[in-house]
Amino acid sequence: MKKSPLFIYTTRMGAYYHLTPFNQQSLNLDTCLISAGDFFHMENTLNKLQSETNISFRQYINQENKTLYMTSIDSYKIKCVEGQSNQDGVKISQLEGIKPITNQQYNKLARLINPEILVSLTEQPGMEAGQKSMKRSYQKSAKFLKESLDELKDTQISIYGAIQGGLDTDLKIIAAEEQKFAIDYPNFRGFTLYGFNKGSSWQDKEDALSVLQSIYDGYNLSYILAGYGDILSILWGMSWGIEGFEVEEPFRFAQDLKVILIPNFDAKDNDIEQFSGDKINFYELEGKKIKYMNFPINSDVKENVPLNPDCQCFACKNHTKLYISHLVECKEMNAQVLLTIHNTHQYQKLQQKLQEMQNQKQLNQWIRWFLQQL
Amino acid sequence: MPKSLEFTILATHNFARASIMRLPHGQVNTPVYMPVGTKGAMKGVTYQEMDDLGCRLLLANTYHLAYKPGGDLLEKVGGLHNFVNWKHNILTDSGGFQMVSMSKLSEVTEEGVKFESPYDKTIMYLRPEDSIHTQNQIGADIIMALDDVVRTTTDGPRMQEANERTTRWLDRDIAAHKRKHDQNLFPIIQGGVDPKLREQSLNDLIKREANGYAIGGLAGGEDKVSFWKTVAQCTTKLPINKPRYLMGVGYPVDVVVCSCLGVDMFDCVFSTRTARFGTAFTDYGFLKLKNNQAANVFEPIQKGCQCQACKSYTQSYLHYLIAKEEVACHLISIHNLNYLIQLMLNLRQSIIDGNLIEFVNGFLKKWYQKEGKIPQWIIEALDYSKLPVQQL
Repeated sequence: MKKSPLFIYTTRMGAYYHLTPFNQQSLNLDTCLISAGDFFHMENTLNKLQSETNISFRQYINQENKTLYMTSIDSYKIKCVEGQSNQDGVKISQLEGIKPITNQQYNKLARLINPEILVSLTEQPGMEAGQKSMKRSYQKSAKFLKESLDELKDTQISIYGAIQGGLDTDLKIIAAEEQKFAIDYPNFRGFTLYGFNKGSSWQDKEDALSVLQSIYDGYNLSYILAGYGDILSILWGMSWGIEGFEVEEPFRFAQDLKVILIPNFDAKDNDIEQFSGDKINFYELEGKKIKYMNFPINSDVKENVPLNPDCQCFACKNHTKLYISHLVECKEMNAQVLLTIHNTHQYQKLQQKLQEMQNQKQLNQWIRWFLQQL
Repeated sequence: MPKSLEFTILATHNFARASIMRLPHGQVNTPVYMPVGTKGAMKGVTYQEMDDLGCRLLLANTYHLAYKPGGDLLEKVGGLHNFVNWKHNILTDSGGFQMVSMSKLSEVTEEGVKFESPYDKTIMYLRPEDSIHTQNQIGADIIMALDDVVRTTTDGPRMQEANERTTRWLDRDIAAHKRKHDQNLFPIIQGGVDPKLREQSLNDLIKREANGYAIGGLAGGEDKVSFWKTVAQCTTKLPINKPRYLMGVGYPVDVVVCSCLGVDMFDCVFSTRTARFGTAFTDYGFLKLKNNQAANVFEPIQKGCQCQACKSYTQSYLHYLIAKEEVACHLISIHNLNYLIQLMLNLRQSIIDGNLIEFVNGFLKKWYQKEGKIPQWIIEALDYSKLPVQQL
């Protein structure tokens, strides 16, 4: 995997939400989450693209020089993947609705897309799934992983297994054990972890992750956290050795007309030295919340100021809260454009800071310093 | 004190002119297409992207801005330019057209227009003085007189009444205008497609000296022959040394023909509205990207186009993206705006270079290639402009 942490920004068909190439310029986005369900219906077109033109898939979606991460589960879509009794595949949300696909089709699509990272196909158990459904989910996930490792061994694609199981530690152990065979494969890199949802307690998350890591202790694997990519999960995950994060929160918040309000990132050395360098404990996150601001706001001349006067993002340098609120009230889509730019910029600043602190071996200390501002 | 508008003609081909219009927020090359940013935004296209396209003059709607954010607020923040952070020129219309077309209840009297606000259903009253006051607060470089708007195809006493009232309202607009030093008030010529009423309106409005004039009351369902003849009647009579703005016209063919008839400024929402339905402008007509034919076309919307849609994406990708994410519509909007802006620049350059005839013939040959025939009204209109056009 490239630099840690890796923030994998969600896209729709390879296009960032609300962002034209012009508006992306100031953001330096370098990753794309490619949702497989966006492309199954255009397989013929992708085949023609490959056989009849010199245009690569990356050029086609205008994401050259980006790290492509292909997955079947896309948190931005509700009910993206459904299980089915057929052992050969799952049902995936596509343009024309939820349709069955086989793992063979999934791997074939992966060849066309040729991502750097492929998360193996997985069956996502329902919220109220019983033991039988859960077992089927693990077994199929393991089967799909093996097939992908075998079928794509002649490519440069790095493959990640998908660990389901929610936060039940016993189920997580079963799910992890089923895929342990993958360690022997040269094109296997690690796991994408599902089920660490926002609504769960930090203690449950910590327990589930600990158990997982204990199974793979000693192996050089990397972990990616699936889901929204909320900031607290990122901080927690980084502290616990997770290197990559699917991120959709900046776009989701913008769609919901919210601005992320992140406290100061820049700590002085003596600010953070007082804190412990141990992993963050679950109780240190309890009750912590990242603030956000909802639009529209009161139409007061006093609000004719940037979202954040210290922010150097395109939205803050060029526009004001009052103007953005006006756009929201008039239902103008430019509001989401500007909010996306601002929110994504915050994530990029966070990413830079986490890298810096990791390099300085002060990551956990900094995280503790940051959390105390919340 | 420098004038608020200076208009310099660089070259002509009979009625067509290539000119420079200097306004308080900079120079605008004409003929020019003005994109419409109704409520202080361009439907998914940022003002910085508009600047990047080379746009130097765009529209905003007084009717909508008066409601949100309101004239008083705009005045407090230093006008619309500051509010939206647009450093180039802005034109605001008076609100007359929206008032009549959008409001369920609309009653015109000599005093003004009584209408029901489409936002909150309250009864509102718009007089010429109110429109000009709000436009003064908005602070646009060009503002429009409030006119008595009727359907283009109206005839009889109502059209005459509207004609004459528009003139009386213009006098009230002029009297109410408090920023003559930096805002140019354009009267709007009315009269529908009735030559006599048009003549009357032209005579009356030209007497009230203005820095520019608008041709209103067209593009409302009239036949094309009446359309071009009315435009020609107006441009023949309007002062040569002042810009002419044809309101609500923005189809590529129409802007080419009317530029040849002597129009300098155009506006229309069609370019961005049709983009949101997946239709793009090309030299060969409208391209419907939602059609399945586009699915496997691995070329840009228009070869050679330098807009970000064409530089970054193929028709195929946009075809699929339209169904999924609205940024596709933003990209097609950008393309269409760029198309019209470049069309005007190229037409203007052809006037300067002395090859307008070749330019127009080349444009029409491509535009009507699929149909195989140029409509007769275009041939007649261009013949009147002393621009010989070869039928296909």
